Amino acid sequence: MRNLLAYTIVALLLSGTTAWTQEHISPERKQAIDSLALEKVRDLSKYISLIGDKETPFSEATRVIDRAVELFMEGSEVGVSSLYRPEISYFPVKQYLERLMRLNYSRVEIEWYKIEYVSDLEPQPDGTFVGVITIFQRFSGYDQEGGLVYQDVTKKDITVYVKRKETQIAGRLIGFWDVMLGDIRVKETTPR
Amino acid sequence: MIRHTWTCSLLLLFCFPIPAQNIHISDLDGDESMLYAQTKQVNQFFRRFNGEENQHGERYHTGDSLYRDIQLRLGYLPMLFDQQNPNIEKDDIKNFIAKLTDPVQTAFLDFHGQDWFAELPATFLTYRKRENLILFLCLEQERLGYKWSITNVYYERFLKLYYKGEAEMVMKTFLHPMSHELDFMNIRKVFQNPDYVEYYACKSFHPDFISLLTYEVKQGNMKFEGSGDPKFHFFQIPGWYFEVSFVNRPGYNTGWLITKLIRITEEERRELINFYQP
Amino acid sequence: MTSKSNRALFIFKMILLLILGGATLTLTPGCKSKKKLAMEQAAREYAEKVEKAKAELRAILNDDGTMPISEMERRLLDIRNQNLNDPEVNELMAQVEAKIVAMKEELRKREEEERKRQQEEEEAQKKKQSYDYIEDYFFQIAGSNDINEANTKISEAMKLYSSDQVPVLIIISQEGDITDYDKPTTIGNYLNYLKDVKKYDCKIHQARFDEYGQITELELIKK
Repeated sequence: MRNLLAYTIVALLLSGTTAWTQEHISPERKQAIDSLALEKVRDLSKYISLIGDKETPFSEATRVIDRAVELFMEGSEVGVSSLYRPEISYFPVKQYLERLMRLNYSRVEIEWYKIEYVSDLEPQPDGTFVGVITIFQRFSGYDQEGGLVYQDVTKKDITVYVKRKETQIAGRLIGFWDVMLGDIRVKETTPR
Repeated sequence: MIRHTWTCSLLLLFCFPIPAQNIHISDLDGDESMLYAQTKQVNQFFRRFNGEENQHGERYHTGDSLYRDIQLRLGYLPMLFDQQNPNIEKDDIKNFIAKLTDPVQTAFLDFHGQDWFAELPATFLTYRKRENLILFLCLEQERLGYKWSITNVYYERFLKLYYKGEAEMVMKTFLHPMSHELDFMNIRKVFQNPDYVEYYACKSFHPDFISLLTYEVKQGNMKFEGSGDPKFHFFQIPGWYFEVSFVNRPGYNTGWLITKLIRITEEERRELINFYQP
Repeated sequence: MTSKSNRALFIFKMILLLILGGATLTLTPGCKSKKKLAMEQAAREYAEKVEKAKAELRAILNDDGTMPISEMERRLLDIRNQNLNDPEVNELMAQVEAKIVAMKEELRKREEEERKRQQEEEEAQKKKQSYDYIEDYFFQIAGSNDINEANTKISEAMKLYSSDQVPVLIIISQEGDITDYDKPTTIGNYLNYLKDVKKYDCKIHQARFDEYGQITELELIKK
């Protein structure tokens, strides 16, 4: 046993330096909420494609950035790492999107893989549900001659907060699911 | 044998459409089919480990005929090991899977079930010097839900400060039993040599590294710089310890996989858990 | 002459009566056994009728829906007209009567439901047609080839609404009394959203209008 503990500690030294609110929700309703969360993520991916597209006029791109930012909880950040820079760099969401708009390529292609993975929604201490939706993106940047100068595939793990809220509309009480996006972890991946 | 089962699983995987995403696996290009096979989230690791989702990534619920089905698990479990890791014994994998799928006493992982820990390497600027340490965390229930909380800090700078004295000196580090008669005038000796100060503490004393870290952070002596890739340590399967980490490489055997598997006794289990959560 | 012949006829009738009366008296013991037979015969026939009625009534009670109600009523009436006055038959008749009443009520309900369904279908169809002009814009905006085209369509569509702040509610699921909505938005934001995501995947559940016929609230439902 001492050996095992010692082994673990040595390994650490070597490697280390390197509720639904309590109401019952049927599976069908959960499915609808999952779909709603997934739709917000798909909306975000469409906004990202529009922002990155060099054909999108500046005024439209800035409007879309504002719409994209509205999807997020205040203070949300994007944590980016690449294969060559494994440490995470942090960007506020708006700054991340603005950087995407200003990228110095003549043409940009943003493709989304047909892979989406939706985690369970777990309650956090304040009763808000939190989940993670994983999507994959292929980014290609081209120069003026049309040559591919940069390409990566990134895994995007997107935090999703879901909370049941109520509001009055024309005297009617409307119960709705407020789905907000949170921090995003962007990690370069190596499918090939 | 493992490779054979894995191939079968993959074939099985390729035979089914993915209705949730309105696509067929055959529609996916090479990259996509690899990402599809990848265990993309720790959440998916749990579901595949327990047999709680189908080949299309759709959730099975309690009451569904294939929920936690043994055959389904036998298909998934070999995929959940890092098959390129030479440190995992093939026999251990076989015995571990046999234990998990023993019809008399099947074993599962429980997200809320304690006895699993996250290990997160982190970098701090300590007294203007970049240093690495390791944070350990566990999932804890609070009010209406759950949260991850720090259970321990593994930091060389802290560790080397405690109980590293010479045996001969240690033998002499105590306040004699009549010190009280002298108004403890000899207490001065306790603080004369900082290397031995902790030996004067009572026997039940254990240095609390979370207190040390938070104190240094509050004092502004340590500043968080960044964190690295987490790993997870599981003690939920009786008689076994395993580690799960993210394997980022080309191919089908990627994502959150078992990268360490060790058979342990109950006493070893207790000691290890005590290390992660003193 | 006439009076003579009348008297003769009277005397003849009297003699005949006497003869017949004497004959009756002499014949009495033989007639008694025949009556008994007749009575037994009648009793047998009655019992048969009762058994037949019971069998028929039971058959009606056990019928699984193949016999039309009118036929049940006709058979019940036949049996009732026989005035059998048997307690069991009476009980079975009461049961059959109750069954017929229940069946008629069931039929009435079914007809009522069918009428209602048809009415709703017609209304939904009418409503659908009446909302088509609203949805046409949604499809056109989502399917625009470029931003300018989409913006032109948005400006045109906006004329249908009392303001760009008109609330848009989107139902994501309905289960019993519980309706789950997405976060409410405004028509201004919603039309721009359709332009951005290039997809309209709802249908109009209902719309409210002001006195000028402009839309003041829109409720959509996810397809």
